[in-house]
Amino acid sequence: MRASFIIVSALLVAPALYAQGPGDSAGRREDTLVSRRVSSVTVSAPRSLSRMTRGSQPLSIIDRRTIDATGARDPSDVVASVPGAYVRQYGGAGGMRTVALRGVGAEGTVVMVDGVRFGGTAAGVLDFSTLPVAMVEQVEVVRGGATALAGPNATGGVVNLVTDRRPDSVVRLRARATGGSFGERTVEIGGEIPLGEHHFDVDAVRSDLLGDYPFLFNEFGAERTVRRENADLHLTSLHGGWRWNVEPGVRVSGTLLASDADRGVPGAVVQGNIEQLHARLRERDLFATARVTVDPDPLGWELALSARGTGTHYRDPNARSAGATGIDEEFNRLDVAAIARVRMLFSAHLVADGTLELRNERLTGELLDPEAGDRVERMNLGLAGLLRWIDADSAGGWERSVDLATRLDLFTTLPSGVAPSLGGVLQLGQLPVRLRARAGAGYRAPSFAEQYYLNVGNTRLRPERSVSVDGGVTVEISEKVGVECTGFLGDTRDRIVAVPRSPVSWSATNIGRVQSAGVEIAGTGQMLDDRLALRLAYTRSDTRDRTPGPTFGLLLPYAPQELLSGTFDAVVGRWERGAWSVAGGGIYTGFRYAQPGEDRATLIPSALTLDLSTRLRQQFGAVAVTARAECTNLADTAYQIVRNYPMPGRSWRLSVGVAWSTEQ
Amino acid sequence: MIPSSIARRLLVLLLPLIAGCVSPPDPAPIIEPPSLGRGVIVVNEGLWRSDAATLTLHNPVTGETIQDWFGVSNPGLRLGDVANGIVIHQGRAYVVVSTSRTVEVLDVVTGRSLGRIHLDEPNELRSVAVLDSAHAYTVSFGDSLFLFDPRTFTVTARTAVGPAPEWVEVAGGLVVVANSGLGTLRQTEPGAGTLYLLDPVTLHRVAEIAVGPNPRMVRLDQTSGLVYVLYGLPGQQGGVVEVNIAARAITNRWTVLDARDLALDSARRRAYVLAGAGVLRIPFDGTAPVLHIDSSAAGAGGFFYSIGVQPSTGDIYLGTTRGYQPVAATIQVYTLDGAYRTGFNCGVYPGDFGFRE
Repeated sequence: MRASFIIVSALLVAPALYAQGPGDSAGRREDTLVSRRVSSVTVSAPRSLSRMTRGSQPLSIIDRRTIDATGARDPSDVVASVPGAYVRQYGGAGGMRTVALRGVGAEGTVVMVDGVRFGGTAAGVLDFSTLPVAMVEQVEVVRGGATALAGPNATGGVVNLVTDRRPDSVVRLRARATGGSFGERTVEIGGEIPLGEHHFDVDAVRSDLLGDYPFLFNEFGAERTVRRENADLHLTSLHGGWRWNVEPGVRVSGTLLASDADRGVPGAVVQGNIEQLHARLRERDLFATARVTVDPDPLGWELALSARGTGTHYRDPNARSAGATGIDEEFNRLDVAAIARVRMLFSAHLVADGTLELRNERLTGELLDPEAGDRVERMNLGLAGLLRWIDADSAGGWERSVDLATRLDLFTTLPSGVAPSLGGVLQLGQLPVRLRARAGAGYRAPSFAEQYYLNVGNTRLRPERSVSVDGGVTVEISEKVGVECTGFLGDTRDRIVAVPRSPVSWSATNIGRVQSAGVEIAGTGQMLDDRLALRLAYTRSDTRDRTPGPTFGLLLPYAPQELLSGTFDAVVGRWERGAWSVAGGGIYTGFRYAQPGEDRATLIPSALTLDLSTRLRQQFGAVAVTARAECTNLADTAYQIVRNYPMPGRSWRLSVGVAWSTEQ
Repeated sequence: MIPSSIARRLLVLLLPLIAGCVSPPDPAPIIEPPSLGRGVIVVNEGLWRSDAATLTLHNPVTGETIQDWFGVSNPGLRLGDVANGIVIHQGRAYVVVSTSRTVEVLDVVTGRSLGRIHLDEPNELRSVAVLDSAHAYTVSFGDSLFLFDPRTFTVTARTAVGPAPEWVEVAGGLVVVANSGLGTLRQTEPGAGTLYLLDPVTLHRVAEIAVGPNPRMVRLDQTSGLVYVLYGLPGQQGGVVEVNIAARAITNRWTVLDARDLALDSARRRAYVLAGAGVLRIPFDGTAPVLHIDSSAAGAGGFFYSIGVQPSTGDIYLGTTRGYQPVAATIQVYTLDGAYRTGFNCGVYPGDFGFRE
């Protein structure tokens, strides 16, 4: 494995040898890979987290070109290329997908849509598989604890899905049809329509797949090929965006995300009972935001309202250990929030941000603790402040900035939390080197499931407490080639763990402690006149259980010590009004354990998977036609991300897209 | 800008060198399982849907222990998902593997697999009992009792029983099924909280005895022919009832709070109940239960998960979880006087014991 690894790494890195010098065309990225000269306070896109992190915290931004190059199906495919990100995939495309950052579980990842939380603290882990990537323009990942900036539960980091397309005067309409292995059929339509000072964009996606991929399985000593059953997914998604530029510096906007997913839940593959053949999950999700943004200096403000309603219905008639008719349970959740942000420029060197957030979450369901009844509720008031000082010596090129942030959260059913954060950035004169450091505390409020779910919930839970520290350096090799190295430490106390109380009952308890440490190395570059784009990310980390007991000092389950990813996107040929591109990438996931205690019987071997795709684009007047062929898991590697959830082998996708634009 | 040629070479050198530098641990060596003679077989459930049930074999005289005895004795084979019961009969061990819907039959001396009965049944199996070389039984949460032939490993009959049958035993020439009703979930259904007595060949029900809420274990006293039934809801008053199968009558009852598991010591005329307080001793003479081993003996963060008694010595075996994680547990061994004797490691969630004597 090591030999193949070196070869792959070398292949991915080698083109950097031929990188061009400073280019002349590409806009500079806002992520930490390429340093930004910040000689005075700047204002970035309000929906981007770069405004939030201020450069002192690692931020990875994946733009539309890279998203297209990866052939991503949902945003987690994109996040997988970010250092420190570990995507847990429960089988093929129909399976659940969660994102964990820096060894903190997926419950420590806050997901935002255009800078607004996609659900509150009580929602639990987000499943990315029902979020089509077609409606995402850019993915941003803040690595490391960010509670002071993004609110409770961001103990591992933040994923922000930017759906907002840059408004302009061009009308664009697009449609794409995709067919692929294992019964995949997807249709996407979308468009952007400017009407005076108003701008609308809309995307609709319908996806159906059977997910009946074959896999090798050794059942009672006999190895055979089995087809996955009950792994189908039927997903309808809708995204709408509206922006009204009332006057310069004043905007009113709204976003709508809706989805309806119906899928089989085959579960883990075990001998004698390979799949749960009749377990089904229906999820309906509606998320809407509306906001007013006023950006005149020196005082700017924003008011935002968000609401998210979800309905979840799980049923498995065969699960008779839960009753005569099996499991048939339904939960409905409503989450409403009002957010006010104020921004004050005191001078060219000092800026202050303030946030007030009021949130109400409620859940109704059947299998809640009898003491809780059939409805539970949580109110949350958050107050956050950020002060940023920046000093620049334009003659010498030196720049210094310091960020001080604090957030206080009050909950109706939980103890309150305070999360301070201190960060700084230092640009070393004319050297293309930028140093940054940050330390902060955070907390994760337990989900409703951890508090109230029948036989498991514990109403006496406290929020998890965490401290995270990181420091790094960014080296700008050329204007279009950058390398970043970041070291990090994390310590989580009062970790919530389901604890067996007796042979028949479990209960969530604040008992665990986890420490993690690691190094993230990332490189990105555009070269050969932007005909070649590369991204590389390597993470070496160590996440260990520090809870007194038999697992003290041992590796945490599902915390691989090594992650490596790389993508390339190369324009192979260009001609008048057309281009041919080849893109690909690979992901290496180091070995990890599925259960505590480093039990070898639960070891999941390391795996390397490679993808390759090619795109052909031709313009016919105002119409652009794009054809794409893609092969995922090129080497047909048999692997698992989550134990007993076999992943698909080599598979194919073909798509044809048509786009019409008034832009010539 | 720094010299780009240097930076690029550093980049090229750095990443390939660090990639793949963490090696997984060496695989466990394959060993030839020694013949340990007499000993105890611990059934380790494993986590649900992890396909990781195991057996631990321990010789109490030499102190030798073999983990995953089934896997070691049968290279390439794994027991299955969630094993939760064992019966030893005429040189064979019958292990019921719940989620895999199998009863694994193995040679009790060598540990080699002799075959398995795989039921075409969507619901979990719960228990196994053996009448003779041609008749064995298992029950499933599909409210069914199955008769199978251990010689051919085939199911020969199936019949409906009460709600959520959790245990099957053979006593007094009849098959005894405990219909738990799944605690409070199905306790109002007809048959919940009862024992069904069935003909061992035709599987016709011949009697029904109400014993109390949530009966989930039936242990046969080979000496007297009486059966002892564990019942009660979690955290509530329950206990043990003594049933004379021939007379179709309850002959004694002991009340115990939060009764969880039951083991008999026929030679010494007593039973042990694992409860929230610890291990309670129940003399068969009808006197009140007495605390025999306090639950604090499980250690900080641990608790007693299961109980078994070695017939010849009367030693008490307690499956004991360690800490809060689903990790390899330990077995604590106590003398019949309740004094700690020794301990050994086992697998995840030790749920039952079989004694090879």
